[in-house]
Amino acid sequence: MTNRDGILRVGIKYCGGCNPEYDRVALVARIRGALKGKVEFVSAQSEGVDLILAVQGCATACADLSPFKDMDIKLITKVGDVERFIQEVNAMRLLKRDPHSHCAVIFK
Amino acid sequence: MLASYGIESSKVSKKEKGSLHMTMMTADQYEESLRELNLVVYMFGERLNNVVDNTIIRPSLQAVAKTYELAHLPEYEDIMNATSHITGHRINRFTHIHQSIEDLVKKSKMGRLLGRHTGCCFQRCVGMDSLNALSIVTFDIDTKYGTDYNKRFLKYLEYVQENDLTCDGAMTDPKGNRRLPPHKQSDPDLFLHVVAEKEDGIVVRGAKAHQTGAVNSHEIIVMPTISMREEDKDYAISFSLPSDADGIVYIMGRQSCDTRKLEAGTMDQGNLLYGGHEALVVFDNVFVPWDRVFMCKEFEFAGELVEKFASYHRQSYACKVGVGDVLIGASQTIAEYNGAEKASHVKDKIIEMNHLNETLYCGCIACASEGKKEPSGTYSVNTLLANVHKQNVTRFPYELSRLAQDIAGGLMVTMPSEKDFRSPETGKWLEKYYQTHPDVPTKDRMHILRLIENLTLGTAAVGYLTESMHGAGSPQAQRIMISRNVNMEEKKRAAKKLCGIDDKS
Repeated sequence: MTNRDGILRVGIKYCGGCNPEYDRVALVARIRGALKGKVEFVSAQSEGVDLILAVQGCATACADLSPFKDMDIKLITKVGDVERFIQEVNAMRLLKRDPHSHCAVIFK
Repeated sequence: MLASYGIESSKVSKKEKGSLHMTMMTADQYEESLRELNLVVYMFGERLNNVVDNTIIRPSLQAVAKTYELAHLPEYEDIMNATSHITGHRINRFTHIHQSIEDLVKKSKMGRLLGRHTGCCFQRCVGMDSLNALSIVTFDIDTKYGTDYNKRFLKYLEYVQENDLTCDGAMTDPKGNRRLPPHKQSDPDLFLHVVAEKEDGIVVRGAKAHQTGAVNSHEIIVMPTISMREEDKDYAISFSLPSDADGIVYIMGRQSCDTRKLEAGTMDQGNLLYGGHEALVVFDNVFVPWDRVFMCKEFEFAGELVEKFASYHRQSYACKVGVGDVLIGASQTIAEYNGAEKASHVKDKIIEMNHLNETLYCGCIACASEGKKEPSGTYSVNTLLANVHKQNVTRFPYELSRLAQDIAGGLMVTMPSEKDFRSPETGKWLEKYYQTHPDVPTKDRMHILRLIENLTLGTAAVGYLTESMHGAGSPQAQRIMISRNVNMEEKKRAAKKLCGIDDKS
């Protein structure tokens, strides 16, 4: 799931951005900064992706996620979702290092 | 595949060398591909020897280039890309044939996206709408007559998709005396028609008016402009040609304030980067090989092609929602610069602008969401709702513009030029008397006013206002279609049932 250095590979899938309620690219830059060294961000179509971060510009969330239907997908539809996503990724990394960690409980 | 089209075009010959052959061009590749064209273009009474770098035309090129640029950015690809139903390749949505309701909805969203990015007409929707209409009508002609138009069309479509071409969809004839059908006009060329049939193709003569983005296009797709009867069968013609085919001449239209683009500076143009253009396109005895002919004298299908194209193109006025986003943003900005943003009437006007703009959005999303599958497999929009949407577009941008001018104030049309702001003699006075708040640079206030001017009575008003009125058919054309498509008997039945009228008695 993670690469040899324990770094998660997160594939970014944007919606088309027709009328977004926030700056999607700036938000992803913020996430990249917060998870620097912990996560490798790649395009959603890349090989060996651990999870998909679907960056939806509004709650309509119309990005086509059908190519990723068998994968773990985390949705962001507003700026307020960022901290939750960062926490989830950090917990996921802990889980990978210690499979018995209770952090797994947050993945409902 | 490319060689099969057999028409002299420097663009095609370069592509045959493989230099530009790819499924999706970048913006730079698009610009370079236009440099390979040998268009015959006239403007201000002179032939242009360099269209691409012409200061007046170039903003329109840059608006089309945006359709190529965004297609390569991950944050827009979900809208800007599609999968070809012919090749399975990833293609620019502007070359796509709609395969689902989702495709139709994404088309509307793409219009808003690009309208907001450019603040003007980006010109490429007309080709997409022509391709989709022809995908339906060529199939229907073949079903009736056993012809092979659809096969020809699909081969042509693959050529367009694989080379990511911009197509000008050319429908509007000059039309001459509106009381008379094509064959009774005093000059037979007032509607484009076939003048000769040969073993290897046809020769056509006539013109197409108001052609948006014509000289930014690699291809021109011609369609008839009205329903026709048997007497007009020579006018029931549809075909495609490279835009630089022998005998095609472009005469550029003027736009309000167009020569401001020739001035130095960055203020008075309003929109620094983007614009639109229109041209009269003359076909002076132009040869069309048979494999590019998609309708030839099947007059009873002329009306269907017009109707299908018009419905798609009326949906395409989703773009005005994106331009409306820009105008609303500009109006709010000038209200804040003026210190008037908290005045209740200003807030209410901004609310009204948003109401009008989002009502337009409702229409273009609704006609897409209520679309249907045609026998050819192509999805078409709901005709009634597309016409209702376009009818709103003939009105709402005018009201949005009125409100924007109300909020902006009279300075929008009385402010001096950028040169006066830069002049040591006058600049100090303009800075002194046109400031509103120390935190608002006076030049920023002037820039946003010039943008509102550009959108509501400058070069962009061509697209935002008059094109909204007449593009894809004038208002009366939509009212006729609304009248034809409403189910009046069902409405009457519903009313009568509620009040106890029994038609059977």
